[in-house]
Amino acid sequence: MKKILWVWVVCFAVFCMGITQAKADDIKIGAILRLSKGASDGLPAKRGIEIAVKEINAKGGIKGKPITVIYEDSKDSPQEAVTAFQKLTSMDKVQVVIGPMTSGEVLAVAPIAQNGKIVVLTPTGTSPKISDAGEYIYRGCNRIDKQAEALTKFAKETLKTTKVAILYSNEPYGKGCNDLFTKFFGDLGIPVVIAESFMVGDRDFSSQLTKISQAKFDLLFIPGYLQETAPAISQARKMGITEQSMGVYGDMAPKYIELAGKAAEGHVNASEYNEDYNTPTNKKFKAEYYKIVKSSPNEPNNIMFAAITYDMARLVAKGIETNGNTPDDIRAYLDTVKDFDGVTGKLSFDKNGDVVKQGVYLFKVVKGKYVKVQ
Amino acid sequence: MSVYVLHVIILMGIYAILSLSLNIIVGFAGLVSLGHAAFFGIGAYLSGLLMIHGLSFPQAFVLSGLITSILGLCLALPALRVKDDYLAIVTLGFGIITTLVFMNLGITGGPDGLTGIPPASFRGMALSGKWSYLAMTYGVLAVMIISVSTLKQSRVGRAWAAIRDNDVTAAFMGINTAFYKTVAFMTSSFWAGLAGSIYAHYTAYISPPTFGMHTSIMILSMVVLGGIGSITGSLLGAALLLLLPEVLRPLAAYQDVIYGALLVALMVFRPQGIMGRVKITEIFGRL
Amino acid sequence: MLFQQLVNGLVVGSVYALVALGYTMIYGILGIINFAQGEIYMYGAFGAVLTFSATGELGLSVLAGIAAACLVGVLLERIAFRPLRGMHPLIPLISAIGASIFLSSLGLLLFGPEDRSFPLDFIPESHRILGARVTDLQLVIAGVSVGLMVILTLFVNLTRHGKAILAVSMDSDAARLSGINVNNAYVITFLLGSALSGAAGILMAVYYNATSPTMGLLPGLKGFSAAILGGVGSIPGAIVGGLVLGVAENMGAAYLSSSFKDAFAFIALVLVLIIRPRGILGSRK
Repeated sequence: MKKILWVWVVCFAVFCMGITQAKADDIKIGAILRLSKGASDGLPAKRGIEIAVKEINAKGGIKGKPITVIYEDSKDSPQEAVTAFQKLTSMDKVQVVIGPMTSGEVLAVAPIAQNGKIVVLTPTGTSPKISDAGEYIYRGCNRIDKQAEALTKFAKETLKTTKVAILYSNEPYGKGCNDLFTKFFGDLGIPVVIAESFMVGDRDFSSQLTKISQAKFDLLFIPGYLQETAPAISQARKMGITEQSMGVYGDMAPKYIELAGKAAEGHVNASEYNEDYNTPTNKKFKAEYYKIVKSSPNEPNNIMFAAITYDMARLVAKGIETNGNTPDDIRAYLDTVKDFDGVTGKLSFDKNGDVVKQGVYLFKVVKGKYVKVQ
Repeated sequence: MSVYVLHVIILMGIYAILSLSLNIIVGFAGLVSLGHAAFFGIGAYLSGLLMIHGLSFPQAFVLSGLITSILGLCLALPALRVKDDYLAIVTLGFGIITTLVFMNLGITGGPDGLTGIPPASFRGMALSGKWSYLAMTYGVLAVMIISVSTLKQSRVGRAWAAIRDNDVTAAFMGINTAFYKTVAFMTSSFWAGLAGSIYAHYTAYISPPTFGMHTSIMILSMVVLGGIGSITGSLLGAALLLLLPEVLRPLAAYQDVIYGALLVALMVFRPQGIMGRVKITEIFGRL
Repeated sequence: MLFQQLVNGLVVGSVYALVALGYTMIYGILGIINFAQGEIYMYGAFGAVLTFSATGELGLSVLAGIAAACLVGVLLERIAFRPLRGMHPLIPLISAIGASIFLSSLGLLLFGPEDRSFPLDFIPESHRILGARVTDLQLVIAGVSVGLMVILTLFVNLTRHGKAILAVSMDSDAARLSGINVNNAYVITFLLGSALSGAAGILMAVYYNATSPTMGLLPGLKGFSAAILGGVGSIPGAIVGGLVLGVAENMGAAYLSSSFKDAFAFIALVLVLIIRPRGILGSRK
């Protein structure tokens, strides 16, 4: 008797899952972001989309219809990202998804997106493998090898680096950087004399740094997420390691400077966005973003992620407006758009779906503030 | 039926296999295991790698179950030497070390995970589409339920019950506790390995975080929620714990808080779970 | 370099020891593994960080942090453990796991996901001792940890309440019969264990300049391993276990592989459990 009752409960729950949210005449866009784990990136990304959508809806939406974004949390897990994607496409019937944010999640979702012919725009997935993931997969940031090219060249030409030590985060992003940058440095005749790693969540880098301090190098490269790279550089400085430091675009955030303190001084890193980019669109976006930051001081603050998703959302909206609300319509727009007025630059997409803009920005921390150096 | 709903039902089936397999160790034999997802992962990686290297699906499937069960034997050996709480720790440690191995071994793809896993196929015909995977998963589950309940009622099952009740007394009565505990670990990890194999070929991409401590705890929660020692309980636990996050999607931010509170409340108010027998002492004997 | 790694290991180890003491006391007297010990550590750190951001008073912040940790500990005992006394160890174990998940997710909701810094305004001086670099901060941490351990040992061995705890951990029925209020002893144990973990959390928040809702997970597991390593239930054991673990981790990362740094704690643990289950200083129960 009891068992039968529970079977009914389960069936009912399954049925509940099948109920969609009320169908309005809205244009629905899906978004899969890191909203719980990794929220320091995901929440600003969400903000970027929200700002874009608010702007567009204020002007009457797309041909009179407002845009609704359905956000799902990927929980920093490829498995969850896939489930979220399934839900967005089969329940909410979205035609396009902004996100997921990490390469692992994108690669997990890609085959399903390709099969189901749904457009996916990842704002921050950097793995080169994403270029080959299919014609429905687009990327809104520079591939990691473009960042590598820019940073290593800068190291050789401006910093006059001759030997590198790498301390990387042992997960897809950091490890990918380690492998790639080692190759790029090597091609420029700069050897990597020592490479050590740490795990996400570690805060103690003393053993790795002690080992590193024994080696001879003039550049310390620390790829990873700022929660680890910031204490890493801080501990390195405290240990007496004075060599030039360098990081990837994860270090481009006020939080990095806050957590690293004085150790951040002189640090060079890449970025996808330049706040001082002088266009009216960017000025408006910046103002709006900082207004929100002021009103929610406890929320993570990272204008770079917001900028990327802001552009992504506007591209999608423009695609729907120009061609129509089907994945192939949106693709047609993305494949042919030229010099789109984005806040991250003048945008278009190459044949692999990777965004083309002016290249990678490089910043240096001077007196506690980021200053553009390239 | 929507692709999304089918997807969740397939996951429910896979986790039902996992939960029932853990129940063999925890519910039938009365041992603690906090690292069960490690076997899930081992089965998944093995099966994925075997197929990538040319084996057919049936071969990969069976081999992954068997090899995982041998690794279950490896865990059983140290596990035999320690009791209860210490056993919890050893299994926890095993789980963590396994995850780190997945993360760092080149052959498993490291932190990037394993991509390009071929789909399951029989005689050259690849399975595609949710319905075929659903059939396979629930087919395996059905076979498992039959074999496990047969086992439970057999001499092996009775030996387990005696060990669960009080393993000192059981040894005293002439039961070879070491042997039966080992059998429990091996059977359990065999099925977990099979679940891993199905999972790997269904999702075509696996990565280390899926097989970590969080998942181990979730599987244990499924067993406990459903009722330690109850076969239907494990199935129910798996169904509920997978459906809950989906039904509560709007409340996504509060999910973990609810989950944690649920576990505590469950232990305080109904430790025997939904399907478990009323007196917990009936299950675990006296301390 | 060897000595440097040793020094680093001892500093971190002394903090692990503090957390291990919390585990060992609770296990010794209640027979349960408090999986939520790491979360108590975390709330201690947050209590201090939040108070410090608001007031800038270091002393007050430390007290606030310890108070927060104790509060969480006492509530934990009352809600998640007391109703489960006398049951098979699996039950309170799962309850503790649930509590740990609840507390860390709650922290995430309350405090947000980002790390917070502890903006202390002093630059640590470093000294050279036998070729290794030791900063003032490290000395303070080691010193405070040792100090707390000494206070605890004195408390347990010399005061009435302390001796009561020892008695209850040896035989709760006999203790009750001799008039000891067992419930009080449990609460005091939790208070002490939580205070120590809270202090450890505060020390780490300052040392690493990072406080986040998930900061307790790894130290919790490691403190727990340290307690087992040293012999659970034994106070000197927890201290030894913590130091050994800290050193083993650093040495392993330095000489074997830094990617497996976190694994060393567990490998050491599993090895000890196989070879000598009672731990380094544990007694045969």
